[in-house]
Amino acid sequence: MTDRTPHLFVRDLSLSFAGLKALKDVTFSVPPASIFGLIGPNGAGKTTLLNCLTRIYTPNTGSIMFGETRVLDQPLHAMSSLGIARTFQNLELFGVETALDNVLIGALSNTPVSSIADLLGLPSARKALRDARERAHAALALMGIAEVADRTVATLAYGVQKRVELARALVTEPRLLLLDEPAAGLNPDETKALADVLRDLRDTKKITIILVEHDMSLVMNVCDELLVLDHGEVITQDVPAVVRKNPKVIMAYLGEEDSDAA
Amino acid sequence: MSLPRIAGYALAAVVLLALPFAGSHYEHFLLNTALIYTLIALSLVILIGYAGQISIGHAGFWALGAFASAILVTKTGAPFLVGVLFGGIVAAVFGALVAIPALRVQGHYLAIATLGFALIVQQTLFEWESLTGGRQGMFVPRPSLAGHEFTDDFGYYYIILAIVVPFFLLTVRLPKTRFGRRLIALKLSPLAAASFGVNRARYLTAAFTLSAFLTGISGALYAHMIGHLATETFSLITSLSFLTMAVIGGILSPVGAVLGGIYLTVAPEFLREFKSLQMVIYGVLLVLFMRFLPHGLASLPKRVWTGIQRRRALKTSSALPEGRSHD
Repeated sequence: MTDRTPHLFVRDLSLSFAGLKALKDVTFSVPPASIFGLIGPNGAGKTTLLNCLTRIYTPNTGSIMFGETRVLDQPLHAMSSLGIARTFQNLELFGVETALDNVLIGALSNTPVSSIADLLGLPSARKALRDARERAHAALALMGIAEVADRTVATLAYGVQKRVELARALVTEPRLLLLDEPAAGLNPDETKALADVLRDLRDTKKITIILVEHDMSLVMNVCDELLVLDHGEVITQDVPAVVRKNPKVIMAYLGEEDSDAA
Repeated sequence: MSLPRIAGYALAAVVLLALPFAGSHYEHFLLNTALIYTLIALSLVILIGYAGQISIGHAGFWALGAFASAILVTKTGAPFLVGVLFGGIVAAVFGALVAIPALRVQGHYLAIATLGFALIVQQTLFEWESLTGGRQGMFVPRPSLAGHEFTDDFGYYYIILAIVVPFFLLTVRLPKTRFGRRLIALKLSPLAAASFGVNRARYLTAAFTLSAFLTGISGALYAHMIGHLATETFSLITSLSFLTMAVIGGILSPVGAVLGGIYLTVAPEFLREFKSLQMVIYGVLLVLFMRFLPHGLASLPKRVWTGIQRRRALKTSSALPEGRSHD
């Protein structure tokens, strides 16, 4: 594994659920250290695509290359060691545990410990766990929520839970970060802070970020490039300023009764 | 470690070491039985409480441990402790095999699969007469250590204690380890755990293997205590009483496992007069616990404490002159 973030290439991805085509020949590429927006009306296939990229779904055809790695040849649990981390649209936190323990699961994903040392509590394992805990604390602090470390995560406000999830993803030191509607439920101030965090991750840590988001001002504001999906098909891939004026994009949104572009 | 904690451990050690001096032969037998059951309850805390998997087939692992040790010691003259270890290993191997259906099915289906496993084990042991004695069962030599045979349960208590205590401490430690944290994460959200590197197949297999190992050791310790094994001991009823013990003690707590072990040892002593009604009483107890105290006896102090707190809070608020009225 090299430190340089590689290119992500997605080619001819198709996926059907019981005859319904959720994705049709989706092809695109994401340059390293960029913020890449995935937009489209409801039901366009954005989350489905994200789930393919993180191996939760297996597409019927197509390939995903992350640098030299064929992502589809890897199991779900190999994602974090490939440097791929994500957040979930409907939050997948360990609700009864504390915020710190949630983030710790992320930190432990890249903390190798021998099983024997771990179970017996040998000094090497204790040190590894202490380091992981420190990194988890730091990740919470980075998200500005250091003070909730010991709170049960299910009791926290929605916006705070979202940040716990982001901290859990970031603590794995990913090279590719996939965020499914990170701004949903955030107030304008929180959204602005999120935009700053995302830019900072791209610029200082050279992370590639794929963003599924309905908040158009955030998308237009932070994304370097956008991929527009409609009914599982790619309408266009371009910089925000161009996408905004694309008549097919406007049609896709205005054609839907639930217009998220408004 | 904090001072009260050290004092607590020291007190527990003194009590555990002194306990047999107070009792009769029969009470030594009960003590040993409680420890042997505790080990099973610990194995269920790991499997059900931590890993979130169900088993109603633990009598199968118990039988495998018991017969494996008994057969090895009687047929080859292997030392008692080698037999016990062998019992644990044989059960663990089968634990890994039982994990295979657990990777595919969950809930009721897994329960049925583990039940099927236990029935197959029991039937196979029954039919394999040349090895297990079949209908007649088989005699098992008393435990011995370095040429000394423990003919009564007083000395044997300390051997069992020396084996069970480390497993108890391991079960206490587990949720703080990397393995335990990731195992529990897998129970709480399989999707998130796997997305953060937890290999579900590996972790569930490890949990079943470890759980079966503990139960196998327990079976071996039981075999050498009871002296005679018959396959009918390892029935569905036995599996269910293990499950009942784990739930009543507290499925999430190693301390609960100890309480469960004591419960399963003591309850038959009290319920013996009820004869065939016993099973009904067990069933009713289980239902009552599931309904009113789902985390078992181990959660009782906390429940009582929060109850007192709540009542006190209620009293002070209603004592206030300007308290809000309820109309």
